Amino acid sequence: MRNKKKRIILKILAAIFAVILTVLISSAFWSVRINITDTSGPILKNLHSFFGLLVKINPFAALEKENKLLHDRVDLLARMSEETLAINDDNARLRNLLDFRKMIPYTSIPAQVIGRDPSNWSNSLIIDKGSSSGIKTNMAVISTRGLVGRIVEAGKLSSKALLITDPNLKVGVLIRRNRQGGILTGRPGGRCKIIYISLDSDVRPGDKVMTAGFGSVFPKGILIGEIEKVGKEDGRLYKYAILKPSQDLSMLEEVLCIIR
Amino acid sequence: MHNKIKRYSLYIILIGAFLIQLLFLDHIKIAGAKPDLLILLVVFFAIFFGPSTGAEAGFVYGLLKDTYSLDIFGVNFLLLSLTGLIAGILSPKLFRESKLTQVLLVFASSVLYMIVHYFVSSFILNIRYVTLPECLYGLILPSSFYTAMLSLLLFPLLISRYRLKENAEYL
Repeated sequence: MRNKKKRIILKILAAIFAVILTVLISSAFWSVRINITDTSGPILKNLHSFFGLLVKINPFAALEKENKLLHDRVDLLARMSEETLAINDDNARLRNLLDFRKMIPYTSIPAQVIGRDPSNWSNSLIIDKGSSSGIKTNMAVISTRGLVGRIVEAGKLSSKALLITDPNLKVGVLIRRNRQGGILTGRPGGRCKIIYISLDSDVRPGDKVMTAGFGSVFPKGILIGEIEKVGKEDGRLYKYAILKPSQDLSMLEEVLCIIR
Repeated sequence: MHNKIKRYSLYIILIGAFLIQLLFLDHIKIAGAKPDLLILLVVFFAIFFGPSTGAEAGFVYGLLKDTYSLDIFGVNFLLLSLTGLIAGILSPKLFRESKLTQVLLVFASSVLYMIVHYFVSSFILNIRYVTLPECLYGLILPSSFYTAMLSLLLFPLLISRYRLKENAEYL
């Protein structure tokens, strides 16, 4: 009994020691962390494709089960047709991305999403391009429908991008209708929050928001999303607005990294 | 008295679940919240295999989470290890065979883990624009509820996988 208590106390002491050690050497882990992600990049890419395939054929598999006994041949044809449709979808999406890439005034590097943040707290993506393809930290990441985030860690073969829905990302923004500015930051639940909107601003739900281009990371004029709700926090001298991103960031499959 | 688990079996399920969390769970998000498969399994191992296995599972998951996410390095392995340890110590004192106890333990562990995570992150990263109520209602409660509901589905599968019902000590 005494031994058991001793072991638990030892474990708690080890945990406290681990915290102190972690805080002291956490910066040293950054390079180790991206190297590990980098090494597992190709495996993740293949597994991601596999899971993507599973998601795509799931409704089809249900159909196959329902008709298996009576319509074997029809099932086979239907599956072929479904696969062709999926290929067509992929083709259309990639063509769309290619057209978009030609249309935007920046040079960009297309990349595929191969993983997502396992944590609920932070929002990030793992992409299949790294420094060997020209990706550098602080590059803006966009999609065909608007701003996605920025590169935070760039390995040789893969990189991590922090999404606009993460509370650690800040972006200078402009409201398109009245040209008033604010700072966008991430918020839980897949939404963003714009702070520092002046009190006399007539900002309202439905207003489109785009990047202001103040800093050196995000180019000016990239669409971010639409305002959903406007309010004023107690004791603060500015308004805030809740913004819905122009796309569902959890469903992204391809992105473009902007070279400025 | 707790059950014993073979190391390879523990690690296979840990790595499999981690890959599902990393590659698939964003597809089943509801209102921006996704379930946390990792905390669910940490609590499962803690309840049925004891605080040491719970803490070990928490440590491994936390380390993987810290490696692949952009979170502060160390926060997850520390908090998940502690979650496993505490859930394992508490479970013999509760009626752990009850589904309600299991669901509540998963829910409480998830809520506490995320609240402590919020305070640690706010303190280290100085996040001032996202308040605790915003996090609580926008992320912590929906995600913990989702995780707890998923435990209703996964716990019976895991119990039968490890044949815990056949174990006299468990009964």
